[in-house]
Order: sequence, then C-alpha cells, then structure tokens
Amino acid sequence: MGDSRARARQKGVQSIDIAGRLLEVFLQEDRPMMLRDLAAAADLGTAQALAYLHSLKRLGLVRQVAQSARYELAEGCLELAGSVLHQDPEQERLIIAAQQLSDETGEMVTLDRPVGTEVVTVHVSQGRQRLAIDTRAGQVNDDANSASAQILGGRGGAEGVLHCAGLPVPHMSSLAMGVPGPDGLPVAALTVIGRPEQVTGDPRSPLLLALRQAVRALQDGGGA
Amino acid sequence: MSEEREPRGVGAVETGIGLLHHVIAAGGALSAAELGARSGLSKGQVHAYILSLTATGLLARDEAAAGRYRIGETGLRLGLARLQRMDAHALAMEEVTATARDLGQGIALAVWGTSGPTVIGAHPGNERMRSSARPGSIYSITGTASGRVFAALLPEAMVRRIHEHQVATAGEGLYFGSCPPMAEIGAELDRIRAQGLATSYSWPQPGASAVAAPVRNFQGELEMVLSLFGPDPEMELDLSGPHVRAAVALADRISAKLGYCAQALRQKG
Repeated sequence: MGDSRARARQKGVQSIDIAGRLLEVFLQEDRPMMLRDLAAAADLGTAQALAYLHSLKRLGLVRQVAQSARYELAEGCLELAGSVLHQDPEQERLIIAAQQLSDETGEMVTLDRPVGTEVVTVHVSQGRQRLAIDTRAGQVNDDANSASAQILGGRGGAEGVLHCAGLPVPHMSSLAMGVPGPDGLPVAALTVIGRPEQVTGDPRSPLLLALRQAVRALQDGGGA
Repeated sequence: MSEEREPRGVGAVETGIGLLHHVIAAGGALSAAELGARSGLSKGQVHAYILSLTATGLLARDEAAAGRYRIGETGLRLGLARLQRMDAHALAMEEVTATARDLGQGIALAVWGTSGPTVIGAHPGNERMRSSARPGSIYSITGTASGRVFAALLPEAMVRRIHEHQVATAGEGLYFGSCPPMAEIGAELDRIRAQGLATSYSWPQPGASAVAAPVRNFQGELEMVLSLFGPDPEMELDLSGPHVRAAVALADRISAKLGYCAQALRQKG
C-alpha cells in the first residue's frame, strides 16, 4: 500500500479527487453497476477502479451486491448524511421545526430541500396516525407528486404557500410553505400531508396558521 | 478472473476519507488543527486532504463555526441516494435468514400497518414447530411480544385507535393472539421501555416462547420489530441468555444497516 501519507501534496491529493469521481458515478446511476461500467464512467482502467473500490468498501461507502459482481452505495453513506442533518445546527433547526409542527397539528410533515439538482425529502414526521403512503427520507420529489418541489421550483402561491389537493396521492392533500434563506429565496420547504378534509386551502385554517408560525419562527431565529 | 483477486486498495483514499470519520465521531465541526491531532497527520498533509475533500464536496468549511469543517453536501447526497435505493425489508430479511440458520430458531419481522403489527417475513430456522403467523398476519398489539414492543415505543395516539379496533373485533379471528385491554399491561410496557425488548413464555401460542426487539431507521423511528421464537424448552428468556442477546444483536445490526445512529440523532426525548 506504500506510505499513503507521503502522497499528500500541497495542491491536494489526486487519489481523493479520483475517489470523488467514482462516488459521483454512483450518484448519477441509480442501479448497481459492474466494475467495467464504473471504470469507464470514471475514466479509469478496471484495475485502477478496482483498487479504489476496495478502499471505498473498507471505508463502508460502497458494497458489492450479494452474489453479483455489481457495486452500489453502502450504509457508511448514511453516517455522512446523518452527520450533515444532525450535527449542523441549521439543518437540525429545520428538522426540529418539522417535528414540532407535526406534534402540534398531529399531521404528517415533511422537510424537503434541494440536494444537488433534485428536491429530496430529508425528514418525515409521521404525525399521530401513520398514513397509508410510503413517504420517507431520501425520496426524490417532482412537480407531479410534491407540493414542496413546486415551491422550491419557484411555483409557490401567494406568500410562498401552496395547497395541492390530490398530492402526493389522489386521496391526500398537501400544504407546503418555503423556508426563506438569507436572500429571501426558499432553501427548504415544510409540507403538511393529510386527509383532504383536514389539510385544506382555507387561509384561516389552524393548520395554515401553524405552518406560517413554524416558518416565521425559523426566520426569526436567524433563517435557515 | 482479475475481478476476484484481493486488490491492494489506495492508502491515500483510506487516510483522506478516513478524516470524515473523525468529523462524524466528534459530533460537530473540527478545525484543521483538530483533524491533525485526531488523525496523527501533519499540518501539510491535513491541508492537502482538506483541499481535495472540499473540492469533492465531502467536506465543507463552515464559516459560522469559525472556519471549522463539517461533512459536505456530497456526503448528504450519498446518504440520501443510499436511502432512496435501499430496500429496508429485503436487507432485514437477509440478516434474519442468516441468523435463523445459524441459531436454528425461527425469526419473524413485523411492521406497523394500518390494522396493527403486520408480519412481512419469517424464517422458520431449523425448527419443525408450527407457527400460526405468516406474512400478512396481524399480531395483537397487547397479546404478543412484538405487539407490545410497538405499543411501548410508538406514540400512544398512533396505537390507541387501532388497539381499540382490535379489541372490538377480537372475536373474529383476525389477529394472532388475544387482545387484552391496554390498561392491563401498563407495567409491562414500562418494563419493555426500560429493557428495550419484550418476551413471551408459552403465549400466545402454547409451547412457543419469543423475544421481540425493536429495529430503528435512519430517523431513529421504530421501523419494524423482530421476534425470535422457538419451543419453550429451548428458549432462554433470561436477559443475559443467548436468545435475548441474539435477538438484540440482530435488531441492532439491522438498525445499523438502515442508518440508525443513536449518537448522531442524539437523545430527543
């Protein structure tokens, strides 16, 4: 393996850049990949790619799918995400706000934010009843299934609030509001999801007041 | 095939990305000097690694934390991608199958469904014991070890309405186990919260005993409950006994695979 530490150079460490390239390939491809395909996508020889994959496996970031020659991201990646969400005070504030809104209203609340080029759910508070829909952290959202995606895509209604009947599924409704960042643009969205008779578009509904209050509290506390 | 040879790896990758583990373990942002002290690397080496780790987005400089370094946006993307692609139930069943074969005892997995604890998979182990629970079976919330773990650890409001429905329809043969009132098992639920597991001896199925333990997910929520079961004479229900330890270790192993990290989540009450 050689003296790896001696490889650290003033202008960075080339092998970290290459490992980053390989990890980026995993992010772009949402299926387990063969070594030759990974190597080609990262512009590496197969032997070189294999050496990197071995190290990424030892670090817990990549795993070989059981009984196949394909590779995929592994559970070590979850530790990285957990660190971002729970050790960064700003992210933690957003999650606590979602949890408190759910506790207060009894409804499911999701926290969604742009991650890379997508709008991704980073936290779900289930509410008092577990709804018959599978909404969980890691879910990628788009305009067709998510009010948050519409809010974060700049398609929010008046005052950044959007009510969507029939989203995320036909028998449910969503009420979403953007959380403004320092420049006033939404950096995240809180969305209440529940039965249509509970989650209405009524501007005087207690649910909307609670949602507004949660976002205002985040702003008053220094913003997201 | 060359793909089957044990490769040497790339030491600088393991050293550099290993720095991320120091940040995770610290529970917050670290300065370059702190990273150096924890890793044993020189100032120059740490600087070089930081340059590349921040360029890849695995590490990020946090100006709000006096220029210390946190896990970066690429770390979040990697974790969320893993969550999105992960089949939690398949992962859990892989572990269940391996453990059931090793131990020889049966193991069942249940999730919280809209009618109560619902079996999603089971492995009989090496036993020829007849079990009445199969995928799709619904456990009594108050009359099974698994049901009691759900009752002890889920929000009370989430459990109450379904429990009341189970009690009202208990005579229809819909549930595995009887459905005693919640008030009758209050002390038992406290004990389950304290011990983190439930046991049952020769009930609800005569001749069969079980240990039930919680599996948590990335958010720290109760994702499922596993129960390890076998004939009464074989099962040791002592907390320090092999079956209790095996059930808890299995639950912890599955929880870790689902991304549960008590340290990162902190105690939120």
